[in-house]
Amino acid sequence: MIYPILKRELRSYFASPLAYIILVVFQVISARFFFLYLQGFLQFQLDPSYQMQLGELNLNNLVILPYFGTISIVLLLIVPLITMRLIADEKKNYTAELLFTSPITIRTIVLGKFLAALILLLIMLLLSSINIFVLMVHGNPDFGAVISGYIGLFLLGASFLSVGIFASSLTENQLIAAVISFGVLLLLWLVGALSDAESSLLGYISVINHYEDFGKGIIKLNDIVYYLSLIFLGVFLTYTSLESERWR
Amino acid sequence: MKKRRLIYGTNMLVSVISICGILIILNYIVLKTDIRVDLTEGKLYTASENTVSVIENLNDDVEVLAFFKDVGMERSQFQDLIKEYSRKSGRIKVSFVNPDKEPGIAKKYDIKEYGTVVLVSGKKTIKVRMADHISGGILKNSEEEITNALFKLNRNVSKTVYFLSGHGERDVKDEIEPEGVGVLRAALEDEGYNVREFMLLREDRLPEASSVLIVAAPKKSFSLKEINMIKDYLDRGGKAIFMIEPRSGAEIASVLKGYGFEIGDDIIIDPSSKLEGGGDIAPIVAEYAHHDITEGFRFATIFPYSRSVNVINENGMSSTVLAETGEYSWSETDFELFDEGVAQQEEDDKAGPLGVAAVIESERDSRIGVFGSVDFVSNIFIDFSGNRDLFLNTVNWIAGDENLISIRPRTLRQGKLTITKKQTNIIFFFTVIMIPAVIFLSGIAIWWKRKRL
Repeated sequence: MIYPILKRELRSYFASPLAYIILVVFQVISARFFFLYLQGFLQFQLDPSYQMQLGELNLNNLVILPYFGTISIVLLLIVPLITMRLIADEKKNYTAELLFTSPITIRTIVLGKFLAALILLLIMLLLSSINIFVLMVHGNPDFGAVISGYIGLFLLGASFLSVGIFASSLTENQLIAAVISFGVLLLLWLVGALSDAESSLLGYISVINHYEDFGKGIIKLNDIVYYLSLIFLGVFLTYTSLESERWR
Repeated sequence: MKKRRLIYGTNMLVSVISICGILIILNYIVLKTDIRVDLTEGKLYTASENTVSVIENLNDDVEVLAFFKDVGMERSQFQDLIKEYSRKSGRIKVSFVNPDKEPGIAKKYDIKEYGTVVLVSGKKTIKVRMADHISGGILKNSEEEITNALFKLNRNVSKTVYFLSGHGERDVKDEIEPEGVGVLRAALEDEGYNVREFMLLREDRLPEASSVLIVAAPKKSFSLKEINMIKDYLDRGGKAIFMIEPRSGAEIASVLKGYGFEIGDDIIIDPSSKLEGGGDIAPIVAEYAHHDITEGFRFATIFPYSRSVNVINENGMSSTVLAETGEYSWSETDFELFDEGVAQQEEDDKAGPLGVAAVIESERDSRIGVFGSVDFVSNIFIDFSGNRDLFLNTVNWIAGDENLISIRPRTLRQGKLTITKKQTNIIFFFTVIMIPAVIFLSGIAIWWKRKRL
């Protein structure tokens, strides 16, 4: 039952210019940064004054890690734009009522919309992996750390999406939805910026702290559970907020 | 109507709260577990089996005080490492201390440089230097260092190092004068040894096993009784280190000859050392023989005012010359000319490389180390490059604690990128311009098509 919703959402993404613009902006920014890091590495490799530190010269640390860092920031900026219209738009066009009185359950609708946004996220990450492929061909990065980094980025992006879709369910104004989700995400990012996930509650809540180990190549159960909880919570709250409209 | 809303509202509130509660509990449970996968190729963030077995066998709580600056690569690398330890054992408590902000604690443990780690367990403390000045991070073998420190803290028998006194040996209490060996004594105590002074004439015999006798450059001669006591000690499987300077300790040298050491009556002159910061009579050693003591050792050492020490291979003994001077050094035997400040290589002077440190393990389990210099561990030179570590390694080996635990250092793979300027430009064009352009144009095409429909 999810499939028709998923198809409808994907079609509406790709029929409007929005998806294309998002993909273009994402690719240009992240690839541009990738080349900055790559050139930095090449200079470092050739600079005689760094010869003593050649042991520290590592593609994962000097190129891939900062590249993934850039992607995570770009996601923070772009995800609210992906999610803002998901539900707000339906409300504004009064299609919401049609949709919600149809035989399709609210749960299916929310999941379908969320999955559509996830697919767009996957396409973005897939595009970004072209640059990693270049590194694989010409250099010797640690592949395991790349894999875990991508798993982390996907979970991080999905958490952003679930916060975004919830924000979109709260209002019928797309702009307000985007601002709310950006604000919440930024707060979640910064809340425990100075402490790590194990030492304090705020550090644990901070959405970026759980990404750190993925970037290094470690997949921890508690980080996965944290992201899945956040994703579940966002989707569940979206469902609840739509459900409540029936009786409010 | 109002009543219906209230019921629905309460229902919603209850379900949201209970879902949040479940998620919080779930996260809390999982945070306490330790399930993870290390996907890096060299298993960079996983403790080795040796470390795990040491941690699991800890009997007492260990407090790890890490003296680092607030930010920096050293600190974050050490944090990654020590996290593994505290994750695996509830007995290990870690706290980071900024020595600038808390000078009291730094003073208490006599911290002289950033990147020093102190492990405290009960009354015992062990200090480990972690900072690697070449890479700017921590030492490559830091896991080995920390694990061995834990191992030493945890072992119950602590060994005693006896410094022989009564013949004008170097002063173990003196930490200030250049020729004292007080800094060495402190270093041995940091390693977990008890250090005592020992006068042969006052005792009937030398102490029993689990001790190391150190003879640091005696100036006066030994009586026959004393010589026999030392021989007796060595024959019983005793463990000892002798440091003998040129032009002294003749009796000791002849005793050691019986155990396979060949100690030259000479002074080593090495003009090439000057280039590297040494002097004519302070040869620098940069290469070491393959031995448990020198395994993984990569620092240079300096042996000021040294005589040559070599070994004669005999049956039932394994003997190794640990350190040799460079090929431009020679053994000067003409002390008269030397005293006038002249030293020239004559044809009959033996040319380098010359041994300056050697160890022997006999079939009776005695382990003996001989150094041709004492100044290399005196207060003024002990902190030169690897001097301290070479000597402490030797003491550990002599005491039977060599290679407590050996752990392969985990190193990041050195990144290589072979890519030409032209290739870079092509790839840049492809990913930054081509791909976005294709996406953009296909977007326009679809939009245009739909508009015309």
